[in-house]
Amino acid sequence: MKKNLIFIILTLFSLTIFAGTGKKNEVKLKIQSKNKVTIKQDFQRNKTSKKDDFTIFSNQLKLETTYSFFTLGLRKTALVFSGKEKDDTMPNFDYQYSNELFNHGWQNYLDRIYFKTKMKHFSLILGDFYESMNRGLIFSFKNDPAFGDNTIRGTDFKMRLKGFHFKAFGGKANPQVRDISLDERLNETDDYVWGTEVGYKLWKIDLSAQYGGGNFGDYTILEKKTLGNTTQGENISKSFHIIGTSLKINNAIPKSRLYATFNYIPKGEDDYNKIDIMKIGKKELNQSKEKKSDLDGSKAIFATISKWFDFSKNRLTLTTEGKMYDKYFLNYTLMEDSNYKRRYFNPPTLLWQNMPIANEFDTWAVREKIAFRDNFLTKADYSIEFVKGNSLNNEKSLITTANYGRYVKEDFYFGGITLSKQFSSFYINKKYGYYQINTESDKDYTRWHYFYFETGSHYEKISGKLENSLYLKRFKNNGVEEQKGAIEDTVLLYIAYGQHLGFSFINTYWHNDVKDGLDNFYPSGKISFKYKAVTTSLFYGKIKGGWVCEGTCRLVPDFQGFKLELNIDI
Amino acid sequence: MKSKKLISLFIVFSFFMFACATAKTVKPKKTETKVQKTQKKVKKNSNAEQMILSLETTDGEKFSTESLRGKYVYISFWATWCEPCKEELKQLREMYDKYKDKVAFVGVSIDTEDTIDKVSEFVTDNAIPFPILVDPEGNTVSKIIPGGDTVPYAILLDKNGVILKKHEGFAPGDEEKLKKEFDELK
Repeated sequence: MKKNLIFIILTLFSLTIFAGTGKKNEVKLKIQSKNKVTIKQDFQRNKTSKKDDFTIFSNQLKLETTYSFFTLGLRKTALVFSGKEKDDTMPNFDYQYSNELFNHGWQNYLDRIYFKTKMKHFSLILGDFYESMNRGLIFSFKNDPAFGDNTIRGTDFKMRLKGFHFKAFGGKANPQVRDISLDERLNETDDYVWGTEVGYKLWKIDLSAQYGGGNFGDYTILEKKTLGNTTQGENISKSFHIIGTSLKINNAIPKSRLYATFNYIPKGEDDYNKIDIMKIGKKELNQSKEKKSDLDGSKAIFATISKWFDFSKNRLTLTTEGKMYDKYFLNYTLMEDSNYKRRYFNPPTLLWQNMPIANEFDTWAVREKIAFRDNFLTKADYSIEFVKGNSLNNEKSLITTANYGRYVKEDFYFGGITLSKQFSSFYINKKYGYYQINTESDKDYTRWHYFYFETGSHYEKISGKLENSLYLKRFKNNGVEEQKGAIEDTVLLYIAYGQHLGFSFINTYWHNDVKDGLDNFYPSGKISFKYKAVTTSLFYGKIKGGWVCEGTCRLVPDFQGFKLELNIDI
Repeated sequence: MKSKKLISLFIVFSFFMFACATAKTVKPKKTETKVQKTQKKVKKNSNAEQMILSLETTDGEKFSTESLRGKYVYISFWATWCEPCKEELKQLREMYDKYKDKVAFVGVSIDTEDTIDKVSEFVTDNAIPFPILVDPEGNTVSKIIPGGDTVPYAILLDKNGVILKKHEGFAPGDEEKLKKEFDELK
């Protein structure tokens, strides 16, 4: 109710200013409305679990008014689900049932609100803002393709004066986040973060120091329940302080670049509370509380250095990267229960994005890359790289609960080559990668070969693109052979006619000797039409589920059915 | 039965919204290109708003499109995780020598702090010859790009910094359309 009131007041305020100043361009009002209708029918899921076909109508309204140095903005989202089964886990899911047209529920919330002012030397934001320091090692709040549009709601102040810069921020983390795959709003957290940075740039050298802190929780891991004389439950909270420093040097030595950061956690602890109470008369037995300073003394180092040489319009670039994340267990999975999907940190990984890594926060790795742009003979781009990494064996520092993944010891190798060339009317991109992981129990067993080919061309109004990703996989997990002789081959053909009409065909071939040994095909087609602000598409077919890795990995179920979508952005 | 009703509802809604969204469509004259039409409009309207983009380059130097006045400016918004965007930058690299005296190319990465090194790496490895700007906090870029993060997206500015044309997406063959567009600029 309060939020709705704020929304109405701000809207009126914006419109009043707009109406009051009229002709001159002093006040600008920007209104953007994104509307989407999706109808989903999942035949595959209907076979195995309860029916989950539904339609979502969504509207996202953005209002922003700017006057002189000041900007006031908000974003409001309204979702109507029709035909969706009642879902008590959804926060603010107002549910109505009627036998007439459809049973339906809705969510309505203000997911962005901000006031900004920007002058020559400083800027101030009150409300929602993005923040990140030291390459995601001290916070990473951003619009993430996999985890949603994450902001801090609070205050962000920045100042820049000649070579000097300063910033300070603080607030509540991710008060409004939606699950991208389900389009549903997640529960609100009680996580607070803060940070500050001070730096000075002299000549080509930029040196900064940072401080950050956080207080997360309580997170319920196991809902507190009483059965007879026994009460059980689990919850956890986390607090920490980080100090860091970063160094950037550009072209101090001609045609070279260096970035290095060191981060240290002097104080950080988990407050883990496992409730397991047995009542005997008036006596209560077995309540266990555990405080663990698992983050004390944690550190994270990341550095990258490049040097390039130009000769006859050709370029040779040498890059070395290194990281060491020692007990840096700020992983989002250790701060959440299964209803919370948030990521507050996003340290750099040295591998290609589609290569999985189980132990990202207690590991070291180095990467060497040579890239060559041949502008003389073949007019193509080449690169070759190699990564070696290993775990640091700090598993005893972790609190382990049923919901947390086990600590994985792994050492890994990765080698990759790429080729890219533009011809007069078409282009090709090729990649090959080899990835091998040795875990403690499964030495020399996980091996991935990855082949990628992409080409695109055009003829008058018709343009086309062909992509093929082929994985050959062998995988053992904790002693259990899960994949052997596995082949995952995905072909994508995309054809567009002019600016408006597009057609794509995707087929995934999947074979695994261990499971059924059968040849499985997942074909699908999608036709889309775009005209001005309107985009509509119809998808029909199968999509292979499994682990989808886009920086982070998550398990997606198989899909078979159709999706009809209409987007109108005004 | 219920799903049939829903589909009918969807179709009716689609037609309605489509009609609303496209109702004021005016067919452009065939003899004039869109860019030329906009150029005429801009000349007529002396109050046309100028766009100035001031950000840092990957080398940490300050850069403003205001310094490019007198030239047409083609600004391409991209990200390291966006393959068509990278393809567009490579195609612009191929065009650079031919058009550099007439059109200034500028790339603007929407990558955040976490992947800023990947931006520098791509630019260096592929010898991109024009300036690449970064906006790790996204405060400037999110105001310009529709939706805040839809890339590839590009803007063509005239010699006074006024927007002439906006491009969404980049498909094979779009480089030919771009060359044609640049050739038509006077």
